[in-house]
Amino acid sequence: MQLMVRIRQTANALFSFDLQKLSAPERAYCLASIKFYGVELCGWALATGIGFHFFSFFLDPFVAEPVTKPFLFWFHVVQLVLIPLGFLVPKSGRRFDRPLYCAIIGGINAAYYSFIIAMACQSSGIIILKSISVVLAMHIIFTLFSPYHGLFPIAFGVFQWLSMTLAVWGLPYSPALTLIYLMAISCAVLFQKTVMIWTLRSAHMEFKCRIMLAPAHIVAAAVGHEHEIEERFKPERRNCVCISVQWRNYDRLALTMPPTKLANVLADYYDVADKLLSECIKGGAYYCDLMVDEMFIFVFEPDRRSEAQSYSDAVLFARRLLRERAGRSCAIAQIDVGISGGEVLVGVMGPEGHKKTTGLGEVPGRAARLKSAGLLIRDLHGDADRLVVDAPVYRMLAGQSGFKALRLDDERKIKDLDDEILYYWERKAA
Amino acid sequence: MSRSKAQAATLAEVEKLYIDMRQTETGKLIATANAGFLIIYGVIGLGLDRVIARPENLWIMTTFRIVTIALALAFFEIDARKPHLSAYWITLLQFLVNANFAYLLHDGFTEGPAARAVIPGVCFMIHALFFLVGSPLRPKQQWLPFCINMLLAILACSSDLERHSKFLGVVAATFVFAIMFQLLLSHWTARAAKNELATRLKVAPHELVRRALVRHEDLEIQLRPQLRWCVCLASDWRGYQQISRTEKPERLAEALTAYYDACRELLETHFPTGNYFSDWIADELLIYFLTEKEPPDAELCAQVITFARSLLEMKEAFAAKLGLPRGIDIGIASGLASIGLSGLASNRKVIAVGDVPVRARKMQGMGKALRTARGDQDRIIYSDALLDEGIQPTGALALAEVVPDAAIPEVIGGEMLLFEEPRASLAKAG
Repeated sequence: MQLMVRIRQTANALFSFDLQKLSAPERAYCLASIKFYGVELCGWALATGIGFHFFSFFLDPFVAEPVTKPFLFWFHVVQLVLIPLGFLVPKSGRRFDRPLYCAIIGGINAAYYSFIIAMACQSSGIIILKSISVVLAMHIIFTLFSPYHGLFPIAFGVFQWLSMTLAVWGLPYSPALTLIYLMAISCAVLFQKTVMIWTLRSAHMEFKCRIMLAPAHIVAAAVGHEHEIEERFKPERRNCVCISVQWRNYDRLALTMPPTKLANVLADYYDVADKLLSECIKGGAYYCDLMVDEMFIFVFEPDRRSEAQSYSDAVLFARRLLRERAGRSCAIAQIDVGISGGEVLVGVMGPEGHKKTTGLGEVPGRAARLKSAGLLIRDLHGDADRLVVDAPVYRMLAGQSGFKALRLDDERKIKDLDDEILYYWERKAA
Repeated sequence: MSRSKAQAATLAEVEKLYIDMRQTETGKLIATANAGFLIIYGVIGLGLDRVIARPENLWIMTTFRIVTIALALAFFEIDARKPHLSAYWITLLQFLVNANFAYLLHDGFTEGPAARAVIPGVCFMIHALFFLVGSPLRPKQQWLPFCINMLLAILACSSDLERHSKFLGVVAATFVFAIMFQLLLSHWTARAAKNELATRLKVAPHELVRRALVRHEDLEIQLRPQLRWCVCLASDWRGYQQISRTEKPERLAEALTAYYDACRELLETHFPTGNYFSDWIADELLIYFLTEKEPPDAELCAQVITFARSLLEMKEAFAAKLGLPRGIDIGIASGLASIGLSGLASNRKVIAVGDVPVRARKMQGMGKALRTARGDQDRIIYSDALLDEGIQPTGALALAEVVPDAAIPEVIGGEMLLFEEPRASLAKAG
């Protein structure tokens, strides 16, 4: 009983991988990885195919039935022409790509071998056993290395099984072969599962590492080598929205609260922020960086209907963060948020060995200054969590209610901010 | 050995260990799949033998199947108790299976011409399956099992070379195919591991990563947040917001990248063991130097101050060439912090939580007040809490003289603000 539990535990630990639990970009990356490794496998499968047919020229004179020899010879010749052509087919990104080509070649091989068996059966009832064992091994190889995922290997296996069944149709039933075939299928399924899990795990691990470098929507589209991310997301001027968030009493908390307890409070806060970011900013088109009590988020525009949508999403995130954090930890006194937007030089940059996504220019600095304006508003209107935006952002949010205006004059001046008027939304403490 | 060679050697060692760890994980997955298959193989084989085995061989086969199932089940128990032995156990089991087939093939497994034909086919397939599923051992360890299995196949066919010679060729081809597959999987694992490591080294100090690998611990576990003694250095460009409004972002990006690259080189020179990690956002740089000693040893504090001096010197040379940064201040604090992987679940990174980074940043922020009080000058700032015989500041001011805020001394962790100015400027002043 204990052993069964142990087996289940080991099997679960090794073979369970729930794609549904992953975020959309993670899932996209994992599925794209299966395709990526499948394409890589194609190159290997084509090379092996060439070797196999070349080797068969020398083997067939010994093993083939006389009646099938000429058919086999020309079959190998045709295959040795067709298979190398696979290297000229585009690896991926087209409807007719290399994996599809490999699958077709695999299907032709399986069907032709079935035909050869059927032909051999006409001349000899004995040879069928030998031929079937070879074809079984062939089937396993073809099915195992099908570079597709999902239902395709099953469909491919069924097709091969049917071609085999047709080949031996009318001959006496052989339970031995049925069992051998069952064994082969078990092995193939297990192998497929192993390779699939290996690929998914590696992909997930890769994603978790790469996400430290670039936003999820870029990582999700960059399966392959590391330089691809840096190449895909090289620093360029892009329109984006910057969100700057800071706790107001963090210094005091850090002095009075034991680090481990503070780390737990922070972890809880980050969990809320993470959940809200994934809910408010679809497609993972954001990148978040942290520095002590400050959180800096860049929201990008892909897949958004309009520029205003990015602003609207950013504000939605900020408002929900201020609302939902209230129910979590009473350790945080207030949070100030600043939002600004516009053209930013953004991309993966930094020193060799410590690259990451960041944005440079006036806009990120403005977001930080707007966040700092929370201090001034606090002096004027008392404690509250506040979201501060400038006039251009406010105009983008046309129709959103609840914002109040703050006029800046010589007495109310914020360093490096020339604005005459700011807008803020506040969540008063209960 | 020169410094760069020593670093390269350390990095190569870390990379080797990481690849080794990943290949062991892949091996574990393969070994479990193998054990699962051997159980299925044993159960189906019990039925198969009754159809194809010679009556006098039946008892051997039945015993063999039961032993195979039992040993495969035992794998799960061994894997739970002595995980490092599980790969060897499954390899041993593969030998047993192949040796048994070799013996039976040599001795005449079944009767009749049809059976004689099927035996080599089945044997070939079994060999192929075991090698396709893969040996769980790492690439360099696979050559011995490969040679032994090949030898077994030759021995098996040696009873009737004339009849079996054809199949010996097929078996050889299968082995080559299987080895090619092994190499491919090994190449994939190594490549994925290299990419992962390259990304991980960007977020964690080499020393931490190396220690985790030497102890065969998972990096996620090794980097889990825990209390560590550290010295924190915080540095910031003065007037960065102004610079970001006037300079082109591309020039700023170039200057920041070059500046942080120079910082990295300096770090590698001063701390060749890599007992640090750094983080940056825009112009703000934070470096944590880790130590095992409690509280942080005076030697490390002195080392960090020496490094800070070099940083100021480097900045002078850098600014003379690029015109940026115009001024920097450096704050240093030491103490206990919770250090480890933290942050948003979708984008974790190594961060430090506690009063140490807060104090270091505050100290650095004091630079602005000191510029007003003592002149526009770059400074290394720390409190009397850090004072030791080895550390000799060039200036000291009572905190109250610099900032009127009553809360500041508490945050700084001392009453006096100690600072150092670059030697060149001191000489000029003298």
